[in-house]
Amino acid sequence: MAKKRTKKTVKRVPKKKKEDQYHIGIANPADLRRDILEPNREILQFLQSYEQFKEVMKEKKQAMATLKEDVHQIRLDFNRLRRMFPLDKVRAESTYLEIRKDLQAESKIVSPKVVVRPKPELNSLENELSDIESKLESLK
Amino acid sequence: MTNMPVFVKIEEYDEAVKMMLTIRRKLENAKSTLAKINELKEEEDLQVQTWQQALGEIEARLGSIDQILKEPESF
Repeated sequence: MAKKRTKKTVKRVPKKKKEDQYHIGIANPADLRRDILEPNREILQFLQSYEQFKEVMKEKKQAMATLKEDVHQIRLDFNRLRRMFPLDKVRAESTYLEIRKDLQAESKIVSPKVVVRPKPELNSLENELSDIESKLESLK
Repeated sequence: MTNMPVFVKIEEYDEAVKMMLTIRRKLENAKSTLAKINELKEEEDLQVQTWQQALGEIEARLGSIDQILKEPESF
């Protein structure tokens, strides 16, 4: 026996009334589209050029490192050159007694223990600079 | 004392002259590197200027869109 199909009762939900919709008239839609698309293009070009800019920055960084190395080498060469010439201060020959006095004085001085810390490059450059300046001052 | 003449050994004099040449060569290298840095800096500046212009144009477009949205047409 075939079963009787029972009809499912479907409750009808009353359709919601569409809320009143308002529209805004745009006289020149093409212009508006253009105004939206153009900045998009600009932004994409901006991002594209940023990648090129990054490359330029990288190249500049490398060039600056090379320059630093070049200048460092020049500095070393100048130091070598300086050592080739006689010292700027010529000391008078000390007598035996003066040397002995100096040695005695040195032995009395108890040097305090100093913890030697590695100085940063900037400090060493400053020290060297002041040293050279004082030498130049003595030449005046 | 400082104005008195000094005498340098001839070997050291030769070395000093060689060193001078080396320093001069390195200085030329440094100068060309610096010129390159300057060139790259100018390129960067130009790029920044282009970006400023681009941002200005975007701002103008935004103003135009804003005007369209704020002042709709009445039919």
